[in-house]
Amino acid sequence: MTAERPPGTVPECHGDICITCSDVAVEVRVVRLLPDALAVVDTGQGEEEVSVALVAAAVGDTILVHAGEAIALVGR
Amino acid sequence: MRFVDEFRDADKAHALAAKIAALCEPGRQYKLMEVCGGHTHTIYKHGLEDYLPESITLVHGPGCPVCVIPMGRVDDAMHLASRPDVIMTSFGDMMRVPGSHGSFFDAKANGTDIRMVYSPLDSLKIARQNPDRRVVFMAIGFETTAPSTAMTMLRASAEGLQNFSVFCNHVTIIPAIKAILDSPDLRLDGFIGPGHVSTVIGCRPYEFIARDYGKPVVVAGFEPLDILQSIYMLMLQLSQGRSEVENQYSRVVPWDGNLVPLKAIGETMELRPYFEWRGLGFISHSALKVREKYAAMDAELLFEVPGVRVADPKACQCGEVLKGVLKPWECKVFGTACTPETPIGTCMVSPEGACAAYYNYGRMHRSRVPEAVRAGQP
Repeated sequence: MTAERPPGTVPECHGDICITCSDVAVEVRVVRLLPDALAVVDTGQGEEEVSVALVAAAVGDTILVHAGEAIALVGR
Repeated sequence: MRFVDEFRDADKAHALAAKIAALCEPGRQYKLMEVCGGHTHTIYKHGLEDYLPESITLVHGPGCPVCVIPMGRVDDAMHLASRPDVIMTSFGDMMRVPGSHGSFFDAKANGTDIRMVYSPLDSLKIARQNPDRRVVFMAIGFETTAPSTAMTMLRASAEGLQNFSVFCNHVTIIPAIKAILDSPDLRLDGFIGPGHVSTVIGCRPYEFIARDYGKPVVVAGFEPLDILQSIYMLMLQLSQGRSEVENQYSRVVPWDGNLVPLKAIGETMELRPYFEWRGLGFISHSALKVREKYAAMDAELLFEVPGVRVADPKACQCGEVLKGVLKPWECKVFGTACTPETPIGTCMVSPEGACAAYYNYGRMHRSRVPEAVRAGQP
């Protein structure tokens, strides 16, 4: 059994699901495309940089991002 | 919010629940497995079991990546992380998974250099910033996550980064489903198929379940109405004596998947002959390892890994929970010795784990509700 940790040392991902580690991916909107198949996206909670190497995303598209990688275009 | 509000409409949920109830044959019991931990989480967060008739039981499947990692692999990772020249990077969920000598968090508290990342790309940044150290990424997850690891390896290779490697624990969902179908102690009527794994692999890989085992599969989204609609679609197939693969989540999942990530996975990784799953044992061709072409990024080749098989703690019944044989609250240590703060078993670690989902949302099996009500009466 692991030692008891003080509160607050357990990482909190966005919401109550660990968005990066699970099968759950998040839908975000592409704000602008960057070199090296990267893009700035709007997550609804702020902007983040993700990889769009695996999808043909354009500015304004909704994409499904998992662990920093876009894996699908949504609703197109 | 688009794609959220319209999938949480209570009136529509009640209407679907009524349609599901109408499809139940009197006297027949239905067991449906939601393969994916994300679905388990949605089911308990939104109390979806309460919308279903008593005759439908949802069985929680093995689709939570950290829940199925065997203790021996955690110990191997810990061994790698303990090297002074190594910086280990890991997703948040993995940080709390207990090995035989504590978790990544415990090791970090004792001075081991383990850093939490939100994406393998962050590991590349750490590698660039620390050219004199060797950065090992603890790669874990199903086909949803493997593309991210694959692309990171391809980026590292293109960049000529010499100090980045991967400790590969990626698993594939189809062999696990087959192992469950072949398991003698579990009888299932249908499957709620994983949504985001299917954005990558598509719906075709599930066809053998319908064809060879005669069980319907509905690939489902993650909102409450997605899941209720998928249960309705499964029940409709069962009532009509059909067994087909259907796609409820077509707004995201293309029938044929996405070939680009599949190619990236195929370029960088290949199937292992076998891999151990917690609760399910050794399953053939059920996990990925780094391809020989990228051996310079394979932590298992670069470093010495003990590779010792470690039995789960005796009190832990994660295996039975993962196979759906036991409900989380039926485990001896559930909610007492094993809690999300101090997990003994992996199912209590991730919010997607069946035990953590039960624990966090205070749910119990419906058969216990009357018992609990009686206990609460004077």
